[in-house]
Amino acid sequence: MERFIDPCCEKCIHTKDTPCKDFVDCCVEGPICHESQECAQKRKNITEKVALDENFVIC
Amino acid sequence: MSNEAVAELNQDIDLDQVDSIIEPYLGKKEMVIPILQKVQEHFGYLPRPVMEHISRRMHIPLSRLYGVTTFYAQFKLKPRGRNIIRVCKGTACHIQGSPKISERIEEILDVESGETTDDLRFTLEEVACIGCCALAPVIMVNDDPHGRLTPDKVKDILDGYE
Amino acid sequence: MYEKHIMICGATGCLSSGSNQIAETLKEELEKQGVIDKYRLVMGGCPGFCEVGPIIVIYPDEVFYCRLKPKDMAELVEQHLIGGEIVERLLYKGPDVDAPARFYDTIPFYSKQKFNVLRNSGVIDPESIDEYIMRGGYRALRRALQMDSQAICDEVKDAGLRGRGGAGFPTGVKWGFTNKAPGPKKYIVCNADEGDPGAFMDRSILEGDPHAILEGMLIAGKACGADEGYIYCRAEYPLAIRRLKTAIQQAEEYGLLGSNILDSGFNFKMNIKEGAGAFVCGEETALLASIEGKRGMPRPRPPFPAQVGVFGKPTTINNVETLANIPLIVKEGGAAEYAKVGTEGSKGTKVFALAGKVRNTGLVEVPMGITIEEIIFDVGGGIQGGREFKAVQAGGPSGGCIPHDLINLPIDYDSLTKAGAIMGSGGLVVMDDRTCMVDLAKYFLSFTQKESCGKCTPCREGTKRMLEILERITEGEGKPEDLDTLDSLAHSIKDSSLCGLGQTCPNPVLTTIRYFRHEYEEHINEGYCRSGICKPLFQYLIDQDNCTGCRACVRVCPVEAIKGEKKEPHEIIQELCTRCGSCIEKCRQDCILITRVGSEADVSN
Repeated sequence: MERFIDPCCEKCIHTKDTPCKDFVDCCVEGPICHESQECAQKRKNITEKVALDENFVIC
Repeated sequence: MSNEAVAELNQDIDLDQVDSIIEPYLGKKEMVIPILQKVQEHFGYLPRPVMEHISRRMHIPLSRLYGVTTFYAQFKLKPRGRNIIRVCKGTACHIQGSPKISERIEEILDVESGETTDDLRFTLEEVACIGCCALAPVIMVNDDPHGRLTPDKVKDILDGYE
Repeated sequence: MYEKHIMICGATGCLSSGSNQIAETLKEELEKQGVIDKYRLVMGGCPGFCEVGPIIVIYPDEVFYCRLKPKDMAELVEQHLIGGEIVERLLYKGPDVDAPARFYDTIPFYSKQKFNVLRNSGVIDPESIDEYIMRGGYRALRRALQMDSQAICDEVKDAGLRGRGGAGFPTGVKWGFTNKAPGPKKYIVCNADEGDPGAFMDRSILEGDPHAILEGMLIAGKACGADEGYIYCRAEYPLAIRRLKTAIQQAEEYGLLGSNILDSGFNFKMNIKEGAGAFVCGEETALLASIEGKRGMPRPRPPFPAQVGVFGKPTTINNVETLANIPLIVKEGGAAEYAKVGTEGSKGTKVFALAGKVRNTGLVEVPMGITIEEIIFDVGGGIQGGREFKAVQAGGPSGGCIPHDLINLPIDYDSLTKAGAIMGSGGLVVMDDRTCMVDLAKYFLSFTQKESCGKCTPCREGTKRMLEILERITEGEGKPEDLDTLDSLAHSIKDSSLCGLGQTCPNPVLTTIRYFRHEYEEHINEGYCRSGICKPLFQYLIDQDNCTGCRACVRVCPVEAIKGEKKEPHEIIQELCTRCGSCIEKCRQDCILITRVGSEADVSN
């Protein structure tokens, strides 16, 4: 998972053709539709890479 | 440039090129401004034969086409020089002395704003605001901005362009 | 994980003072040291302080380096990035700070600013949708998609947002009109045809945070029931257009533009139209004509665009800055938070392009209601060269001049209108005692006269006549009755023009007559321009007591009109002098005086 649009695992179905209503919230706080430490960490890796300081990410 | 010289240049225009630009827009009259922009990007100006061609292909009367063309400052009906000098006429530049800069350029090149030197080396234009107000007064030569100018710096800058 | 983030200002101001070379040299240095992988380099949006560009901000340390040159990069890499020690030499220094300053906390330029619209500018990579989402982006859209159209309009109304493009019409009300208009097809248009000379805040927003505009338009689309948008952007802003195109492509890929957005059933298609250089196209009905491929000429209203807009369909037209405010308002709890900033009638913040003879030029975002004094002296650092503050011009060619006496005027829609100026798009051009107010009025009028589309006779002919009068006055041929004629022409044009251009273009003349009548009278009755701008109405003299005979003016004079020996006071040969002003720029002793024509050398000003 390099970008938020990449699926974290096969459970994530969001694409432009099969939209998921929770996609935006899911980017930073996800996964929302299932529970997985691993999938959450994948998202965290994306934000941590570019976050300038602790105030950078806004939920 | 004289009208004869322009007419001579206009003889060698390849209308096939124009066709390939118009192609995606056929039947879409509202796209006439993007067409003119692309054509001008290609030729550097809007030659008369090209205008006639667009008029025919797009089914827009030539008079209306010229109406649109002459309304917008971006469109040029005559060839332009190898180097385009744009003097910023923004407010910040004005009060920091851009009129003195224009004057000096006009003196050196012996052209007025909107004109091209006979050797096609420079075209002198005015632009409403480049948006580098902190560097006022500013001129752009081609894509190079030259800021915080005083009249005595002008000549050296122009000498840098052939 | 990166050790540090290096944000290089990649906006037009810094690019023109050389930030591209800075970035390249920095990259080379990092490669040479073999540490390039540890650092993230971003050519980002604008931190606003154009005066001291090129600028680099290093995070998480929040250190602000300015006035950089390529040769400084080696030191910056070795000492700060690798060594961890701040390079004091490259920090901000100025008369307004005691010691070299680091960033927001210590640089006075930032002290009174509040970042709403520019919240992401210079902080995120404008070409990354992921970073926009991390900053809370597209959450307001997600919320709006679950709301009723009218409820969105009401929230924007409650927040008190007024259009940032000039007239200050309440945005929520405007949306409500389009929402109620009948018909299935409606449009949202973003007016990014920023044509005011001296204003570049919209460009900075587009370049620094393009997704905020897209999100604002999408929410507007939902609120108005529109499913297609046009961004009408000046062709002179190639970088803004490129960033917008990238943003649109990303939003489409992420399913935030297109059909069935976030599974809500809401569709939206986005188009970009490049303007072709016509100031009048900032006027909404002219802009609509231009989108349709016609001459950009305004038409009478009603019908308003909310009823009959692009291609005859109901259309909402919003300015860039207005749209950039929208995500902040529509997010959870946003409207109430938003309304806390500003004054009773003007909520939120406003971005101004601060320029002219002020020390700190650049882009500033301040709460509505801040006074002119605070903006010029606290944020702007006072007047260049310590000269005297004379007036500030607000609102560009449609605005007016506010004189020194009104320095405590709060900047909001209503106060500015009362003073004869307008908020306009937000250009603030500061003037000192070397700015001639008659010349300034002439400057603005020559601009609007050229840009008048010619449809309404009073605007087309009236501006021409007014300009002729002003030209006469600045050439020393003014007549006593000119002021009355100007006043009467100005009111006729205001009263009988169709569009905003005609209705407001006499403002610069009216306000300068209102506040600087004595300068006009001096030009007309005494043949004297005290600011040394109108050439036939003054002469330069060299102050014989203070001239040190340094010959700097002699060397710079293009017509050899200055004579004098080294270390002896020089003298100007009036017959040769063309009043080009080269000498007054060069003289370090400030001993070139502006005097009445015919005065003798011993007259001091």
